[in-house]
Parts: sequence; structure tokens; C-alpha cells
Amino acid sequence: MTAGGSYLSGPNIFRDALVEIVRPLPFGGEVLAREGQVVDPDTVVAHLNPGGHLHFVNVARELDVPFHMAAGCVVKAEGETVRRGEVLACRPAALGLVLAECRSPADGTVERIYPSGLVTVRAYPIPVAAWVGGRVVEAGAGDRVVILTKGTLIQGVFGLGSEGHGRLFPLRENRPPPGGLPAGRVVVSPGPAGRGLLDACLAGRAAALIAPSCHLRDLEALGWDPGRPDFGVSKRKTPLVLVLTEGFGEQEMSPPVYEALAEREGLVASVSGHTQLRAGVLRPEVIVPWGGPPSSRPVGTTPLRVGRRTAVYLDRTCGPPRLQVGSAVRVTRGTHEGSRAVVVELPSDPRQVASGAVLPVAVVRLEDGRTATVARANLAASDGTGAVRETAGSGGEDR
Amino acid sequence: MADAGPEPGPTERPDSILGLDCGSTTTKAALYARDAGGRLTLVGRRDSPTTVEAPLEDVAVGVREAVAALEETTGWTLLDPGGDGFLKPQSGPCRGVDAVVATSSAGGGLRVLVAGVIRSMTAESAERAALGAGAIVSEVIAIDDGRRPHEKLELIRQVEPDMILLAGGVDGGNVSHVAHLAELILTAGPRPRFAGDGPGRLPIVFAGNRDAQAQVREILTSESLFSSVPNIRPRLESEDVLPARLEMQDLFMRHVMAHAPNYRRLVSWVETIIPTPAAVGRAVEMVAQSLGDPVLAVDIGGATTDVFSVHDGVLYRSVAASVGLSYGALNLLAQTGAENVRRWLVGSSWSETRFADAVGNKAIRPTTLPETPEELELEQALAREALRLSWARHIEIVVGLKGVHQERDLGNVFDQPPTGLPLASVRRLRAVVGSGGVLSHAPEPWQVAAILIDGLEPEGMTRLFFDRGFLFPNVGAMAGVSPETAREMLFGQALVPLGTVVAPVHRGAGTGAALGRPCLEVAFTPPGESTRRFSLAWGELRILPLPAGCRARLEVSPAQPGTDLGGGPGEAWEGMAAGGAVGLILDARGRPLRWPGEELRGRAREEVPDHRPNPAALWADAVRRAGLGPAAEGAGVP
Repeated sequence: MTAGGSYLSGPNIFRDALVEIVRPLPFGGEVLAREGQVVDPDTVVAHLNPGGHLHFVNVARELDVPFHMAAGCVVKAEGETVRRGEVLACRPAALGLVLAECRSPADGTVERIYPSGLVTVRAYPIPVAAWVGGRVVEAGAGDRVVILTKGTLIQGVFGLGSEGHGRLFPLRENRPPPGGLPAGRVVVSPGPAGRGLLDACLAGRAAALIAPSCHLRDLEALGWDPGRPDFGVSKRKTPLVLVLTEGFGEQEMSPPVYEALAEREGLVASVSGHTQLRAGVLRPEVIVPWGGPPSSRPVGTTPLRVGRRTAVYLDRTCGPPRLQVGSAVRVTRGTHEGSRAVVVELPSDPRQVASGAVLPVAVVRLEDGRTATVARANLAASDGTGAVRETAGSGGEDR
Repeated sequence: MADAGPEPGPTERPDSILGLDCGSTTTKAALYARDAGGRLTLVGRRDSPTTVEAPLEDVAVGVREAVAALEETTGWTLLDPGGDGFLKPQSGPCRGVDAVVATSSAGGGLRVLVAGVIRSMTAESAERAALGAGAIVSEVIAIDDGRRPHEKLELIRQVEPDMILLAGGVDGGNVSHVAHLAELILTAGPRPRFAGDGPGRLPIVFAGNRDAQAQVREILTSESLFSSVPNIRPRLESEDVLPARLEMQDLFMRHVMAHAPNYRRLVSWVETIIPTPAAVGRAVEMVAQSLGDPVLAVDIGGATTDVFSVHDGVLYRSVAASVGLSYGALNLLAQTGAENVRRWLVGSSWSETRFADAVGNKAIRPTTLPETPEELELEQALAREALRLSWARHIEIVVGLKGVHQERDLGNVFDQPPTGLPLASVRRLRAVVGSGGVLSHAPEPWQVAAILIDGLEPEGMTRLFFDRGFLFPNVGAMAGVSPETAREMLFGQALVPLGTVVAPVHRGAGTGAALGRPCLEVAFTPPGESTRRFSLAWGELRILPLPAGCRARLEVSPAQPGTDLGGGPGEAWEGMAAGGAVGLILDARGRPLRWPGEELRGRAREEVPDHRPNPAALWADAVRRAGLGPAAEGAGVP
């Protein structure tokens, strides 16, 4: 394979981009935002399940009482609000020494109490926040809201936690400053995040941490379960929203990535740690809007999908980069793992590597000037597939 | 002169075939062509990353990339330069192909939600049907699964399957239970996975009580793509999964793949496209038809490990979901434990931290490949554990029918075996076949044999094969177009013999199988050579080179009455043993494999000192003594 080789993998980095973010309503819902509205991350743009899930609670079975007695055990009235886990019904047990309890499965309202003791609880609608500041460009159909923003977009390779936002707080080195971390910030570390930094972010109630790498065992110590199939979109609360830009280990952050974040110090960054690796890849994302919300979508340009919910308006001549002589790459595995390099040769025939396997390879020049033969599968775009480039339509009317 | 009949068309007996497989990680393209003697040979094979995800979200792009790479390697012109697909039929030397077949597991493959009335009966049968169709069973729901209605509703909504298989009730039996399941599905309103952010109608296949069909159809037809097939379990004593399996595969082609990112384009280019596991299953059936059953085949993938077995002509498949070597690597590690993986690492030293990071990085960068001997050894260690876990899963699935009414008489009233006994066993297997990237990329054939033997621990006399180029999917897909051509591909190209493993097992109590005790007396006569006689002790591993296509006379006698070669304790074996890329492997390490100190732990009354070595470490010495190699440093070689 010579020039015009296969596409290079790698998370995306766009320093100055028009970005569309979809806020889906997977089970339908009520859209509250209107087209053209300017939103900030906390603006509630929709409600999931405006009618609310209807939960059924069989009090007789839960409390192990005859049906004709079950309604008498309910301690709430129809129309009364309940919190998840709050006692709905109870009866004395163990000769009156304890109370057997039946609890509400959700936050909501007690809708009906049947004579048989069946209780229905109507759950509250779930608010959907904008998560990112920008302008609503689509707000109909009841199944999604689309927000357009202008700013910096960075995709990581692995993340934890759900969503968060806060002002960017870049560190000069990979440890907390002597005075500690201010609360609610999105911390950016140029180097690997050790236990000290992870613990400091937790203790300081950081909104998120963006780091190049950390040890997998350190994340397990935070309560993360790596055995979860496909990682899944995290539904349980992990204590920290984390985005890794390089992976597990002790890699340093790619300088263009750090610079793209550091130059926006103090601006609000929206961070998503959601990660799913197959059947709908989802990579963690950081979006830092700056320069004011754009007025509208560019005309005559179709955005490039860079994630399941994210698209970027590009100059039509750009596209995902290919592996070719001159490509700036990062070695993701092997003897030179973590090194940045430039491709100098793409042999057409597979060659034997150190393991004895025969693989398609590339010859690269490392930063120290040495050349190395690396499996093509172990190369990623050095600065992301977006290659820190400018994008079409960045001249929106409002800044 | 008698009419010779019409000439076979290009796809009936193609002279050239392009086989495509869109995997979850890589898209593979393989080119086959007839040589001057009319024999179908593999001309070349190349990979490219699968492009079903953003930013490309077009599976056809990855296919074109892989085929373009194949063109460079082979010098053939395959892509239609003026159009959108391939040049068909072959129009000259190295120009165009007669047939293009494809398989797919991209985007996670076919994901099916199974619903049945009784978990251990109709739901289990439905699960087998879905697995046989090549699906990943996302979830199994049954009336008696212990979940509350709202939990079942929540589960159905979360799963986002590609289709639902609904079964339940024998013909003429209860209708209300399966109707209730249908109502539950309707209430949940599940969305198909590839509907994106918009609405979509989910295919639902009903394979239950025929008396319930009308009612179930009425409930579901307005909100789904509803179809019905004959009952999977028409009577408790019988199971008929084939109609459901075929319907699901057809729906996969017509609806699921049609909505996946640009699959329509790919479908228009090929003769056929079926789920990859279904194609591999067909190839395994062909192997069993030729060699006899039982046959066991494994496919170690990035996200899942599939196990196929054929017993009495029936194909069974199980999927150890999330047990794989890339996407599934962390889950595999969590399920088996770091210690179980590290015990196979003989030639390398990993700190616990670096080990965990390496496995994690493989999971988050699934398309990377091992470059160093250390990385290779780690992947092959993971592969062994993937086989162990997936084999355990397979035994759970491949069982006799449960709930079968059994006649009792005075002869067996106290002695009747239960229903639902396991059918799969590593004893007396005719053949084990291995497939998957970790095997295809293994630098040495003995490493493939080692992974299969260490992971599955076959007993007795077993032939070993592997699918060197991951060609089984091509074979299975071709079987639907031209069975004769598929057989040519299978036995001419895809199926590579590794040899025969002889693994005695000690039956009974006592210390007869202690390290160093006599195990076997062996007489081995390769073609054209004199007989070599030697003894083998327990704990030994020895390889006798015997090339593919050769057979050697072999006489093996147990040295002790409790030693079983497959014919029963104390029974000798003699016959012709088949060779392969490795040869004859005499594995007296014992079953199950044990690690140093394992038996002594908690068994203070062990009388014979047992200083057994690490069973993985024995491969290095066996390979060196056999003159095989060059063995890669660190890859099981201290």
C-alpha cells in the first residue's frame, strides 16, 4: 500500500470549529427550547417522558399481606408526591418490633391506589439540559434538540462519568497546585494523572479532569468497573468526569491538544465522559465555545459526523486523513508506544515485526531522528483526524 | 449425442471469487482464482479497518479500501473504475471476478432480544435458534425470569435490538402467556438499533404456539415488521429451530443490514451477505459432514468468542458475549481474573500496573496489533482464557431438551437420567477447528495448536485444524451460492491441518498421574522410516513432526490401567495418525491442566511430591526438541 493508503484512526481535534450537538430524546419527550434560542449548559431544553413512566407497585406482594388489607397499609394519598426510595406502604412485622416497608421506585406522584393495594406512581419527567452553550438550530419533532456552537472540539480516547461543565483550569504540570484546586473547574493536566491528582480532583469537586493518561488500576480504585461489557454509556454515577486523550499508562498530552485547551483558560468547557466502543462508537468529548453563538447553520454544507451525537462543518476539501508519506502520526503500541513520528515510507509488502508476525508496516522517523518500522495498525493521527484545522463557516454572523 | 446440459453460470462454478467479511474491527477481502489445473487457490488477502462508525459511517468505504489493497498485492483489477462496485464477471486474466460473497458482523452484528414463556424451555430453544442464526442474544426475557413487569419493560427499552424472537407455548397449548409477552413488548415500544434518532419498525419473529399466532399478530403487527414461522417447540419432546433461524437471517439481510450505514450499497454489489457467525456455522457443518462428528470449532474475535459444535448432525452455537481480545478484553480480564491470564506469561515480565494498562489499551484501541514478543504472548494468553470461558458457556447452551416427558417403567424408575444434560464434551472429538485474528496472525503454527490445546484441553485423540486466513466466512457465504465451490474453498484453502493431539487422561483416584510416573508406551512409524519406540511420562509434552498430507502408523498403550486414551481406561489405541503443520502432539500434562503448587494447596495428604512445571512453559522445550521454528522469542518461549 503506497500513497493514498488507508484512513488513519485517531480522536478528533478542532481548534476553531462550527459544531453541532444533538441532544436526543430516546423515548420521546417534550421539547421546551425553540429554534433560534441561545442556551447555556444549564438551560433545560426538553423533558424526557413528559407523561412520566408509570410504575406499578404491588403492595400486597411487597409486604406479604392479603389483598384486602394491602390498601390499608399505604401511607401516601393519591396526588401526593414521593421521592424514589421513600416509604409508600408499611406494616408491623416481627411481633411489632420492626416495620416491613414498601418503597417508591421513582420520584413522582402517587396517581392511583387500587382497592387491591396496587399503587401506580407516575414518575416525573426527566429534564434534559443543553450541556453546551450555543444556539438551538433544531427543536421539533419531539425526539431531539440540535445545538450549534462555535469553538474548540476535542475527542478523547476513553472517558468515565457522565456530563459536566465548568471553567477551564489548565495545570502547568500533572499535579495539583500548592493551594489546591478550585471547585467546579474543568482541570487539564499536561501529563499522566496519578492517584494524587485524581484524589485532588475528587476532593476539590472538580467538574471534570482532562488528562492524557492514567493507570487503569487507579481508576478501579475510584470505583470504576472495567468488566462492564462494551463499557456502556455510564448510567451509574462515577465520582469524576474523566477524559483521557491518549489511553492507559504514562503518556504525555499531545502539545497541540494541550495548547488548544490552555489558550481557552477560564472559558466554560462542556465535558462528556461517555464512552462506548462498538455498535455505535461514542468517544468522550470536550467542547469549549468561544466567540459567541453562531447565527445559523452554514448554507450548502453538510456537516461531517465525528461522533454519534456530534458533527462538524468542514471546508469541503478536508476529510479524514489517510496514511501516507509525510503523515504526522502517533505510535499507539509496541516498542515506541506513545512516540510521535512522521511517515517516511510505506512498503507495499507486509514485513516481519519483532513478534514474528508478518504485517503491513510503515517506516517512520521518530522525534529523536531515528527511524523505526511500525505496524500500520498501530499508528494514529498525531494531532487527531481534524489536524487542528480551521473549518468552513467559521465566519458566522454573530460573534 | 446426449445433451450435456447447460454450462454452469459464473456463480455456479466461478473461476474467481471475491470474499468479503465486514468484522467489528477489520474488513477483510480475499481473492480466489482457478489455476491452470482448474484448482481454486487463494490469490491474496488484505485487511482494512471497518468504517461503519463516524466519521465515515459507510461500511462500503472500508470494503473498497480492503479491495484496493488487495488489488495492489495481487495485481488484479477488481473495483469497477467507472462505477460503484466490482467488475463482474471476470473478463480476462486478472480482471474482474465471477462472484462476490460477503459476511458481516460489523456494528456489533445481529443483536436479538429473545422472549419465551419458560426460561428453561421455550426461551432456551429460542436462544439456540437465535445463536444458530448468527446473532448476539442481547437479553432473554421469560415469564418466569424473576423480573417484575416494569423491569422487563425497562430492559426491553434499553436493549435496542435489531430484532425480537418471540416464542412460547407448544402447539395446542396455552395462549395467554405468550400473548402477555406480546403485550409487554408492545408497551415497551422497543426501537431498532439503526433507527438513528428517528422512529423505526422493529422486525419481530413469532415462533410459538400456532394457536396464538393470530392474537399475537394482532397485538404487534401495527408497531413492528411482524412475521411468523413454525413453532420452535411444537411439542416438548421436539425442537425445530431451522425455520426461525432462516427467517432471522433473511430479515437480517433485508431489513437490518438495509438500514445499517450504507449497507444497501454493499448489498447491491454482492451475490449474498449473511451474518458472519452463520457463515462460519455452515463451514463447520461442512467439516463435520466430511470428517464425521462430534466436531468443535472456535472463533476468537475482538468482542466475542463463538463456539460451534456438531453432534449427531446438529449444529450448535454459543456466544461468550464480551469475551474477546479487543473490545471484550477488559471484560474477559474481569471474568477470568488477572492471575489466570498472567499464569500463561512465561517469557515476559509484566508488572501488574503495566499488564492492566496493556489490556485496557487493547480494549480502547481495538484495531492495534501485537508487535513485540511480549505483546504477542499477552494476546495469546488472553486467547487461552477466552477459550476456557467460552467453552464453559457452550456446555450450558448445548444440552438436551428440558421438560421432555419421559416414560418410566420398572426397569428405570430409580435410574432415569434427568433431561437437559450437556451434549458437548472434549472427549472423543473428531476434530477441533480454530479461527480468529489471534490465530491467523500467530507467527508459528505451533502457537495456534498451543492456544487450542491449552484453552480447550481436548482429551483422547483429536485432529486439529485452523482457518489460517479467516476464510471460513467466505466458505459459508459461498455455500449458499455454490456448495461445490464452497467445498473446494474449504478443503483446498481455508482448512489448514495442524496435526493430531494425543491427550491421555487419568481416571480414578490415587497418584497414578503424578509427575514422572509412566503414562504411555508409544510406537511411531512415519512413512518411509523405521519405527521409533519410547515411553512418555506424566507431565511431558512432546511433538513429533509429521507434515500435512502424511499419515504415520501409531500405537499407543497406557502404562497404567487408569489411563484413558478415549476408548476407556486401560484401552490401547492403534491406527494411522494424520499430520499437519505441527505434527503429532503427545500431551501428557494431564487433564485438567494444573499449575505448580496447585495440588499441594489444601491437600496435605498428597503422598508424592509434585514439582510440576508451568504447563505453558513446556511448549518451548517441545518445540525446540522437535526442531520447529523459528519460535518467536517470548511467545511462550522462556
